[in-house]
Amino acid sequence: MNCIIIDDEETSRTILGRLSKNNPNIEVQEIFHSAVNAITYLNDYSTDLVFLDIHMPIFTGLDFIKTIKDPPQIIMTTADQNYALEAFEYGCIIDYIVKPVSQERFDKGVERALSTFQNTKATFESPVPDESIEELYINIDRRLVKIDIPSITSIEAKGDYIFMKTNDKNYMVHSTLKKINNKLPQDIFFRVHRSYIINTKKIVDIEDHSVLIGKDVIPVSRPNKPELMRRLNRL
Amino acid sequence: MEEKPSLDYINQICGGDAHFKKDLIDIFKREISKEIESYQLYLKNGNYLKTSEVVHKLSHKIKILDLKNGFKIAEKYCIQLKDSNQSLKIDFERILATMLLFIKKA
Repeated sequence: MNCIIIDDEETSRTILGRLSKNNPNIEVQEIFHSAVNAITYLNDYSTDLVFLDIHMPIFTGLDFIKTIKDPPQIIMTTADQNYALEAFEYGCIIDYIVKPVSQERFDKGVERALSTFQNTKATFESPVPDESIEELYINIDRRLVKIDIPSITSIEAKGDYIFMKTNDKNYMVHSTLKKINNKLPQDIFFRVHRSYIINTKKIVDIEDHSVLIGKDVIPVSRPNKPELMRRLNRL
Repeated sequence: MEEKPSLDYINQICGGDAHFKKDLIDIFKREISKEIESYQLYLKNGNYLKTSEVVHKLSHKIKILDLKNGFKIAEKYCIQLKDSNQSLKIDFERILATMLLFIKKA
């Protein structure tokens, strides 16, 4: 399970980073000192869990929750017990941990998040087999162009656009990686890096933190490497 | 009897990793100094709301050093400041002085 940490205090960020490192069930994607920076990040990338401080200058933790659409699971971390009641009015908040956070209490919160995460994953994954989706329509010059999904080799984020490579043609489409990722079969396509999605069937080889797709060397971010390796049929 | 700060919590988090402990204490020292500076500045300028916010941040550090009564004082002071009331100023600043002295030696 991936997570991000949002806290304006460096001491707290360091402690939460350490507690996360000690827990084998989570991998920290990013750590933010402001909720605004985290919102910008979540416009492009998804996460499974957020450790969120309430008291932050200008933009508080509760402002963050009110702002993001479709929030992931959130564990509030705060030195103040007085917000607990208000916090639990938000369905996305699964736990409320009072600082300073012990390893035991932290692990309990992660366990709770993991159980919800696995249930949600099972609910969403079982009804429609991913292999059944074979085509995707993309908007190019006011035409809807049909793309054969298995022919897609890689997709790269390029500002407000994505650059899609297929076996025989490349396309520049006005969209985000997050949007297209939701349309692709998750058993074949994998987001290896904040700027890249790859078709895992097209992998030629993997070396350290990069993957070769056709003739393209594509970076693999450190947090995503274990999941990529898990998906491979290795000897 | 005056309450004494402790590194119990920090030791628990570090789990014997001396390098990480040093890093964490350095961060703590750097951050507490900045927060105390901000506290003094806001208070001097009569910005009680901002002073209260900084006291809240400092209260977390008071808890990290396991000063239970100190935390209660900080919490009350935090609320008082929102009403421009400084009656716990001396008590709070005494806690800060104790913490600074302790963490300097850590």
